[in-house]
Amino acid sequence: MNATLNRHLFTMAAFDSGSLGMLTSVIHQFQKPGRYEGVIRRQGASVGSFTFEVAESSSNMQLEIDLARAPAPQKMEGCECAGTEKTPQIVSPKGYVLFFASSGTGGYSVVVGEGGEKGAKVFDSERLENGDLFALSLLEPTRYSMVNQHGKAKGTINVTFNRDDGRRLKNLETQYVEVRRDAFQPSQVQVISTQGVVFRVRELARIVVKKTESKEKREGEERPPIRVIRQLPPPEKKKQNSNR
Amino acid sequence: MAHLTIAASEATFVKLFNAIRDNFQFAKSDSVDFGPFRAGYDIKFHLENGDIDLRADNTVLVDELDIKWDKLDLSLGIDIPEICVGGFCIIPNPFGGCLVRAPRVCIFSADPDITLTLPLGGITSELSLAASLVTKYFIDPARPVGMNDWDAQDAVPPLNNKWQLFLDPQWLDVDPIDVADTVGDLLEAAANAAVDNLLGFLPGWARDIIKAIIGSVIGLIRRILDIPDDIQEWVSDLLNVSFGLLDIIAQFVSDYFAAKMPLHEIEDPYPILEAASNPNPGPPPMLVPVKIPIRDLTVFNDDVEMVLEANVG
Repeated sequence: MNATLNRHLFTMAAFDSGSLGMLTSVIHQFQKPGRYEGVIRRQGASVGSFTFEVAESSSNMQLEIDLARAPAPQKMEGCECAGTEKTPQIVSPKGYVLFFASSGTGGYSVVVGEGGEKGAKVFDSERLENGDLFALSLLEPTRYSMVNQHGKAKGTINVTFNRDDGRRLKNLETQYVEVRRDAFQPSQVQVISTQGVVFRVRELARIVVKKTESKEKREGEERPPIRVIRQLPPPEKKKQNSNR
Repeated sequence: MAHLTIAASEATFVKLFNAIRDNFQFAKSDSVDFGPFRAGYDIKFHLENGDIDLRADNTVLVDELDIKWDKLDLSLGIDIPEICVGGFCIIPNPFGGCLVRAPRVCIFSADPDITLTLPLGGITSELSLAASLVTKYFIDPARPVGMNDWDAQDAVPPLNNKWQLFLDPQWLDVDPIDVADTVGDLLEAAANAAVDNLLGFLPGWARDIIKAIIGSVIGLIRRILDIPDDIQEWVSDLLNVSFGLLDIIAQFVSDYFAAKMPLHEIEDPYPILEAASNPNPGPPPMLVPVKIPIRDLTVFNDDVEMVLEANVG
């Protein structure tokens, strides 16, 4: 079977909990039983919607919602699409709903509210709160910055990969980072390519991880022209010409 | 008693045989789906050497006829398994295991397929056969019914009838194709090259990671193909048995000698005097050739010579 390469996986430079793409996911626990409705946004516009139920009778501990595949809102009415009122997705109140995007260039965010016309908003992926999780996997071995856009927290993630690491890929343990408004703990993270990094949110957060310029690019970068300032010697006093 | 008898020595017979042997060429390609993988071959060979022996029992033995493999390419089409990242544990289960896992994201949209081509040519196999000499009367299918022999001669190309002499194999033995013991190295090199080609568009660090995920490429290929320890034996079985190449070769060679390429042809009627200018005054300016019909042509041999007998007129 001919397969196309997901090239975008290898060109991603930013990973944003408020703008989800491949390799990132946001996890929230909906503890109150009931029906929920979610709206998917991308670059400010609604691009899809979904519903799910939280039921005591369910033993499902993980419900995955693929933001890249949910049907568009206009298709919901009279639609027999999966994930609509006709075929609700169900999760236990002790379980977790995981929002992610399985394809595309990303940029997804989600707002979830209680079902019905007057349903209150209960979750906004652009504003993570205590108990939420943001998970990602970094591939390119380089240095990344991490910031909390709802605070002053800053830090770095250093990703490495060598031949010895290749033998350990299947046994890598997830690296956890505690997130507060103004601090990451730890603030400097060291992981191997593909290793999972999970941010445990304790205070309001929108976490953005960005690739900083790679060492190779810095070394190959053209130097700006040097401005030379040279102080000229004082003009010599002209001797009078006796032959004039 | 036959009107006409022609005898040819063993040496002459060998020359006749060598001419049709040197004209032999065989080429074929095909593929088979084996389930976990697809395999194909692209082959081409010619014949060389061979010991010819006219035998007293009216048969001809051709021994140790070399099959020179000009091309013996074996191609293997394999779907390598998904190459994915993610799937790590996000929330461990306090009682063991994992409660919530990250989704897996795969590098390719589906199982990518790769094709390995092993160039196995340059080797030599052997075949032997024993055959009887037979004669057949040939009428050109393009010759119109009722066309006389002079018009047939003048047609372009000529449409003369012919007596043809063939070797009709009674048995034919093809030795199994014996691939070189370097086939294991060839397979490993081809596998690595195929994966490198698959990942060619990616930056170096990405290729390193994907190769680390795949692990040993040759190990992966061997698992998919279910190759036992001896790669050489596996490849030989694939060629000789699974593809049935030995049967294909035997059938083609047999048909070639028995029906496609005559050892010798004799025009019928046979020209005993060529056309010539009329030595006498007056028309016609040219005299037609003098031909004599050949009937009941038979052939036999002993351990010294081949003999053709026929009646004429």
